[in-house]
Amino acid sequence: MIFKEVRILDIERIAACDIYAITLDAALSPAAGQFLTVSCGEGTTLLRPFGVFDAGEDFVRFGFEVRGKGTTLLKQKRAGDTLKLLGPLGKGFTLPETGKALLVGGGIGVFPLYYTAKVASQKGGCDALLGFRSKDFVHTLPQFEAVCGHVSVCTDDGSFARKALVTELLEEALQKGGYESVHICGPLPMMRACADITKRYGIKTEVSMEERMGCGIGACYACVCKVLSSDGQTYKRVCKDGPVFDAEAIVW
Amino acid sequence: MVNMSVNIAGVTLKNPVLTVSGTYAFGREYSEFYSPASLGAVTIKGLSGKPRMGNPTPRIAETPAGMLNSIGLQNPGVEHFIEHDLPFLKKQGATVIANIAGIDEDDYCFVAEKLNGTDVDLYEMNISCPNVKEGGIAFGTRADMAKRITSLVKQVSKKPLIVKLSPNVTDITEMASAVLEGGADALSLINTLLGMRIDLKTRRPILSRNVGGLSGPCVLPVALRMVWQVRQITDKPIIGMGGVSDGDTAVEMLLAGADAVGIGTASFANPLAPIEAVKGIEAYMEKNGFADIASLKAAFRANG
Repeated sequence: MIFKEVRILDIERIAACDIYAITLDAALSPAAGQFLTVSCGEGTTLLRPFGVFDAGEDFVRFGFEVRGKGTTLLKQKRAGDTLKLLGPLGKGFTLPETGKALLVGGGIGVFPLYYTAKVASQKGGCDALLGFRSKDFVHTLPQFEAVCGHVSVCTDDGSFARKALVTELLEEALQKGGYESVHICGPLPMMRACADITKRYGIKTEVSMEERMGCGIGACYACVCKVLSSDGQTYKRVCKDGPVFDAEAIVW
Repeated sequence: MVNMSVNIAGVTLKNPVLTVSGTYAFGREYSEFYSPASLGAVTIKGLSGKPRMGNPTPRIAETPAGMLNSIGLQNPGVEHFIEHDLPFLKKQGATVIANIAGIDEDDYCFVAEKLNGTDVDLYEMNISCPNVKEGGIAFGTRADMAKRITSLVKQVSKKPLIVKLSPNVTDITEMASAVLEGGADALSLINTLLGMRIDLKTRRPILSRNVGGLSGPCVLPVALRMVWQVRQITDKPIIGMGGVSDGDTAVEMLLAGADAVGIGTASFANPLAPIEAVKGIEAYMEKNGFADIASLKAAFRANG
């Protein structure tokens, strides 16, 4: 884990609407599904968490949608600016060594799934199911296509690819079969609906949870999610015990 | 070379910087950045007799120059701490302050008695947490109850007892006097101020419990003022906390009258904040010719 000030190599808008990717001059060696936190600048107290979108020998990339104060500041950064970076953080996805993984993503949850697809392509390979709100929110498809066996895309309103929810794509993919595990990242209601489907098929499923964070490393217990435990229910830290959890453990 | 050591109720701390309860869990996470032994002491998460689940989320919200928390004292219980976490801290050579956050009078005493047989160095009693329905805030906002709970716990404690004060009171010196009368060996202040934020998309409070504890740079002036006020009425050790983020704000806190300084929220955006604060205090002392903490503190003079 490192904490240091790093240079922004690049910032680019990657969808028609307010979605960007920032590339940092940092070598993190993250695992698939891990995340990082960054400072956003004056007027913020806390670092912001983002899934690792891509990483290589000398760079790490994260994507974000402009939602609030922190992301509005990030959008204004330029190559050459610096950010404080903390990472890699959290427990990532456990991909099959030889079997095929099915990655299911919604919206900006697609970002960490791309890095996951890259890692999976070096193991048993993967297919990806990606759902977006509309054409304006679609991003990263060519990159997925380069590392996945098959990529299926849908939009809520049908303005791009198929008009469907990603749950429909999931049902079809599981009926075809051939997957050893499913790895889901997206809005909580989407993940919950997908987890209900995978449970019926009895297939090992992981979800990447999110929650407002404080320290990002497990010291403050702000970012918990409810999971089943040996004597009922307990709260686990999304930043440290997660963000990836077995779908069956989550108390939705 | 300056002498950074301080004495809190008979326990020598190698320097005046400590971590604040609730921002440091039980030490393993931040140990990846610095050894707990490199600070004067580390204060661990508040312990209750039985494990506590804590509040529903969201438990945190950012504010201008600060944040709100409503964790709800999630902790694995004192027995789990003694078995699983204390040995790690002691192996690292840390000076450990165990924070006691009981659910009622019996629970505070139970936790203290359990810790008596361990090598925890000091107790810090949390009578000021605003984030739980019972315990916490009632004790910390009524002088008679604060005095009573202090004396009950003091009677069963075999280690020095620090009492942590709530700032959500009309007169902090009244609360300080009450717990000192109850037998507190030292005081720590301030705990968090009570605050809230509202989400403009949902038009509901961000925190699931509506209100929570405010911390961070925005509370520094309140913390400094309260430490200064309490220092007027006692010579007992005071651990000052609230918005301290670096060497400069740590020196302000020492000058206000604190003997040691806690750093909490600042660690979230800068895991190295406590270590940098130690270096910052040392640099200030060297630059201004103070050989030890006592002479630094003695250089403060109020106006008027």
